[in-house]
Amino acid sequence: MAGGEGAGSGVPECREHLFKVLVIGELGVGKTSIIKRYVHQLFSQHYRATIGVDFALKVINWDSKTLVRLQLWDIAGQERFGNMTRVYYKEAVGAFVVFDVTRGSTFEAVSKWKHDLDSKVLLPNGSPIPAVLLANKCDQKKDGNQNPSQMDQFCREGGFVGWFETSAKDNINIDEAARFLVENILANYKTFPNEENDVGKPKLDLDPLKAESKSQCC
Amino acid sequence: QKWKKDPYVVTMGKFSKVTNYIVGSLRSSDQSNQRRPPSEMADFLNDTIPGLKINQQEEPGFEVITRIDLGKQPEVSRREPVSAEEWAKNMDSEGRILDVEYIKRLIFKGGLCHTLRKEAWKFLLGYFPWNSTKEERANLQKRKTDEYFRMKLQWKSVSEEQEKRNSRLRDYRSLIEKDVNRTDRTNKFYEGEDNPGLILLHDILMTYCMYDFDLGYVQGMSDLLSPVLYVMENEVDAFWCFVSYMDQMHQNFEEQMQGMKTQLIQLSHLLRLLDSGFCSYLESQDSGYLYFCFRWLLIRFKREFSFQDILRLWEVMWTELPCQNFHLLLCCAILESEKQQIMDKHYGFNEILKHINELSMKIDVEYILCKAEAISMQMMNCKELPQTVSEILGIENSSVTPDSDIGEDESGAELSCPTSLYQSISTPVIAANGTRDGAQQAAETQSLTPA
Repeated sequence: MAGGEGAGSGVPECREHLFKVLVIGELGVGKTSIIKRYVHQLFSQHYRATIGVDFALKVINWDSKTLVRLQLWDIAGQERFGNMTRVYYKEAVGAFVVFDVTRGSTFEAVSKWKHDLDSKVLLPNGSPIPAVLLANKCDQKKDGNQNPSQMDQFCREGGFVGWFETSAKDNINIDEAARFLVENILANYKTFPNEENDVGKPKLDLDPLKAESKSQCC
Repeated sequence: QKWKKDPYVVTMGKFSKVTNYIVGSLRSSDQSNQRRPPSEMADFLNDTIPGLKINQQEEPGFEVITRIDLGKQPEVSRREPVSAEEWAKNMDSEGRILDVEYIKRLIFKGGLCHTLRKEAWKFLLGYFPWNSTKEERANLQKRKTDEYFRMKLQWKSVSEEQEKRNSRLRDYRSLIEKDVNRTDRTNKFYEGEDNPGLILLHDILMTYCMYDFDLGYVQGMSDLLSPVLYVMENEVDAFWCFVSYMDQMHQNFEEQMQGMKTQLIQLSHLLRLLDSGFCSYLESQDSGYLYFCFRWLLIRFKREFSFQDILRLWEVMWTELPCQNFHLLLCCAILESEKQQIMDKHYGFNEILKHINELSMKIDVEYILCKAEAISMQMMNCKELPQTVSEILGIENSSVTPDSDIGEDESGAELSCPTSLYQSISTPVIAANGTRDGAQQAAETQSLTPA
């Protein structure tokens, strides 16, 4: 089968995954900054506003047998574009929903984003894709925010697999949040050994060219 | 296997010669097939985007019969930018432009040298009437300056207390502040922390909210203003030029994004005529609705080219030559250049989006202008141009194929541009010189991006 399988040079269990992960949330909460920090270890106040969607790839040597390619889809936050940018959700296997701890309105919008996500994309078994909530800009945190137990409850009720306080500026918790999301994606992946949830899978099941180009792991 | 999946693409390659041969003989009987009845239009799109309907081709093989042969793409050359001398020669003693069509043709073929932009853009964008005298323009500027500062004072004089009770103004301000901070910050005019360019950008966008409070500010507008302000170097002139530009682009930013939907539909009509095989391929990959052109259309390629290239591209588009909706032909030109890679590598939905997105800053502007112009010539010379297409391009063509359901057409374009005007510019105004050779060479290679 195409995708996922290792090069087969005597290590048959070696696996390579391509996971499409969405990064969504209100305008200006720091979606692009989180991605740039995670992928390029950089921070700038002046990343351009995303129009439509931008892409980034993070390659993770998960363990000796597994290589994970995270394809991060950085989706424009302006509500008006929502009609047109939701099509980008297709075939995603995980998501970060981001809000800005300094702006309460962006937290209030989290449920809207999550609901939208669940209505547009599902795992092959019909359950929602794992979503992690990111409370970004925690370096600028003021008092009076939700306490951790409230956030835990919010996540349980809202169907998030977990949440993290993050700062793209000070590089807080971003690797941890990504690792946590990948764990959840891989757990789902094991439930579907036929790789139904592997985004890298070409549309045509038997495409020798594609399978070849994908298998250069380990 | 491949044939089963996409018989059209596979078959087309082999039968294209045959179809060209039989197109003529079948033409008279197939006119009703030019456009599908609404019942055949795929409706799954409506689930995702209300109002966007694109004729999804459900029986790809069928199109082989209705294919229209556009003939070979003609060679096109570009010329040097209009010089200050050429501009001045075309003005009478009172400052009226003598031959508007001529100067527009020159700008279309070569753009403007940078020193002329500050003046010429005001005409191109419609802030200055082409037939005005220097004196009339000075008076106009005086009036417009008063009007600008009157509107600026309106938001400037809102107290903090008032703003607390005005959520829309507050939201506009917050959006503008966020976006001004991240608009072209690597450009000299906007770089650094306390650059006056940033304050101008902010103030003009805030004043535009007062000019059009219903629209206010939508993301992307700062991208449209930034080059205009950079060229004008003047708050009032930049504002009014921006107002004119927004008149063209307004629909893109409206609540329902009708402008975007209309353009995507129009683009799909044009692309189908140009290359129905590629259209079928895109449809087979759930990409027939051309979403990957979203950013191109929303902000007129602003993010796809370098800042300097955008100045050139925009002034060429503002001439409204050689036809209406030339920017859609630019889309066609880019897509056609990428077609081979997309199809050869059998890109799917995600890969197509990613590939198109990553063309940013890799496209040669002169090459793509040549190619789009060549496509426009192909279409204008086509004797059997479908009426839908001639309406999108605004071409009057006596021999167009009539559509039975013209009243339902979404484009709503008017027939205005006479073909004779077009023919006069299809011959280069001035022979291409050395600096254009690069573009011509590039035009001969298949891909846009250097290998």
